[in-house]
Amino acid sequence: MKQFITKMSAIALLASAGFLLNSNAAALDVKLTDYLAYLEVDHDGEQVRIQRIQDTANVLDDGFAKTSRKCPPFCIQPMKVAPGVGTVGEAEIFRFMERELPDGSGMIVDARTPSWYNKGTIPGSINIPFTDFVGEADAPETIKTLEKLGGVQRAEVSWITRSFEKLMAALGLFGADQKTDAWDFSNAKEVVFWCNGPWCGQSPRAINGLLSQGYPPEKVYYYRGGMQMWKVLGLTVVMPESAEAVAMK
Amino acid sequence: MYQLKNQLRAFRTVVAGLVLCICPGMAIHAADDYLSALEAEADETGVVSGSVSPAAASEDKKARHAPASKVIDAGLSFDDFEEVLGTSYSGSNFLYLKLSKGQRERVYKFYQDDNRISSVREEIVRLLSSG
Repeated sequence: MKQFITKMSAIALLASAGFLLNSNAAALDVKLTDYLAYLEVDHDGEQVRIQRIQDTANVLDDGFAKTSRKCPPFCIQPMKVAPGVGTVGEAEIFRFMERELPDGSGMIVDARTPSWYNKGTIPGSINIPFTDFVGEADAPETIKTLEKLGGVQRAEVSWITRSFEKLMAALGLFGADQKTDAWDFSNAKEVVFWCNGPWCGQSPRAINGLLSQGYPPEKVYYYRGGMQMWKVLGLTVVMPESAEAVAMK
Repeated sequence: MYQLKNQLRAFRTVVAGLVLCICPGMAIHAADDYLSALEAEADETGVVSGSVSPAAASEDKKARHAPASKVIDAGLSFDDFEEVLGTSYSGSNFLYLKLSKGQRERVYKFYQDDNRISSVREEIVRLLSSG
């Protein structure tokens, strides 16, 4: 009898809570990785969920289904874009989105020109076209871009100080290798660059432009798969606000 | 001989001058070509299918999922998950404590896929009712 009452109480409790028993309906069949079903990132102040298209029969039908483009200029990029720069894949991007993006120590840069960016971008990315990285060192857009990435312009440095820094940099001491004549990159962000995929040269150009300004290569990552692989994997793509504004005009 | 040397020097100066004039022009031309090829390809590539605006993505998420306050923080360890359940969701925790160790691990695994408290609660109930 006591057992019966306990059972009935449990049933009543469940019924009163209005629970549904079919819990698996909400689970995702197509997860990001074996340990992560989805993740959420901040994009322009909105939380966007990144997950994969759940329709296992889905195939690409847009411009990213195209196999061939003229080379040059759309040539296949090497795996290693520059010495010291790491190449990353989607799983590393997810980890970056969970760790470095929220605490502000990292940034994901869509290095494509606005005409590409406005067609859709990876959530959490900001658009800094590669053209902003390849200008002269003293060009306003170069300075603005380096400041966005956490670089700090230095006041004039005496040759004695600079010589000492160079010596320390060679010895790997005091973080002196994070400084150039004009910039201090000690607190610069870790930056992941991406563009349209393995056939796209925009992010490699941005990376090489950035490195030529003395940005520490160990803080730079190249997501070679870019939009091409992001699309192939059915991952969430967002339309930038700027594109919406253009469409509304 | 001296005259020949002078002529050679003059020739070299002219060649160097020509190279200096032409090279930057060629580089600018190449950059322009690259940009025009990019723009042409962008025109040819339509809007990326399946794109959503951040606001729409956010709205969509709100429609399908509970508000943020009804979501358990993602990425918690097993111990932290149990702690949050105990401190913030006492009703669900009451039922959760009735589960066996193995079942609790299954709930934690489920939470890693779906961190909405309503879903987690449903999973607890499902396991409880399945005995």
